Amino acid sequence: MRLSRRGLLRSLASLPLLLVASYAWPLMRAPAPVVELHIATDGDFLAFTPDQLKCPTGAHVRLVFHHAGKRVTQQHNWVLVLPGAASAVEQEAVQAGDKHGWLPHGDPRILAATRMCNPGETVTAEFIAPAPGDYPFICTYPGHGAEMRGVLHVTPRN
Amino acid sequence: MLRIPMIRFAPWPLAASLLLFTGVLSAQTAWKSPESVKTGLRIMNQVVGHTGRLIAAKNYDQLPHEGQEFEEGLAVLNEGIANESPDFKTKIGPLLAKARVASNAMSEAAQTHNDAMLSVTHDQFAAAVKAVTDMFPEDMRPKPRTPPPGAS
Repeated sequence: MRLSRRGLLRSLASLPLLLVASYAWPLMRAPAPVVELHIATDGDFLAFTPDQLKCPTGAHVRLVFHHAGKRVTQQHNWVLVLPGAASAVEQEAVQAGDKHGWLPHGDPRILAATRMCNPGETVTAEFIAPAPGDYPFICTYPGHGAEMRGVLHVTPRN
Repeated sequence: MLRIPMIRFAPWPLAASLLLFTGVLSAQTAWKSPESVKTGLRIMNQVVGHTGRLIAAKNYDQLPHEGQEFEEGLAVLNEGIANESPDFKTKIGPLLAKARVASNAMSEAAQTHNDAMLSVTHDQFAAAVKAVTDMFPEDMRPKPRTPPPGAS
């Protein structure tokens, strides 16, 4: 079957339309959900509670972290990192030191982080949930990461 | 014919006595402030683990701060045992004093940056805290915590 010149022109003319549609399709889906996650220290102990969080991929996440300590005057933060990078980021944080808030700013393995906070304080971090998978989170204050760690389970979007 | 008197087994008085005995026993072993004791022990043991990791990472500057954290744990434990029997306090007092000395020794050793000395002082500190912890029953001692899979 031969394609007429007019048919060919029509096909070519519809090409940009198809391209626009393919790019616009994901935008036409339901908007990215906004998720608020709450996490705290386990009182004065070196532990997060809960130590597992969940959100869908692409969600606009607002993480609220509360330092629930009352007696022990130690600082904590909440840092989300790439899978397998928790210990390496923890070591880099020690190098960054107190003047940088025990956080290697600009490290590509860090996906989101709160600042260090004192007992009784509440801090937040906002980020877009990464691709589906399990992402570790830690406290990067020296020596805390070995015990203060958990997992953010990022699920596929329906 | 010799008649042997029948002794009827009466379970209720026996059960009541047993219950009474158990009640008295548990009242004797009940701790006045178990939550404070558990919290104090957990903080003190947490400091042992934390200082061990700091020494392994040669992060000496943070060690004196850990001494302060230990004091805070010790204060919570002291509150927890404040109303315990004088006998118990007499037994645990020297162990608490020894643990405090070991904690101070480690903070001082941190200034030398001497790994061998720090290792020895940390071992002594860990042993002193263990001796304190062992004074309490199993259910009051801190349990090891395992992070969830994928947390690395």
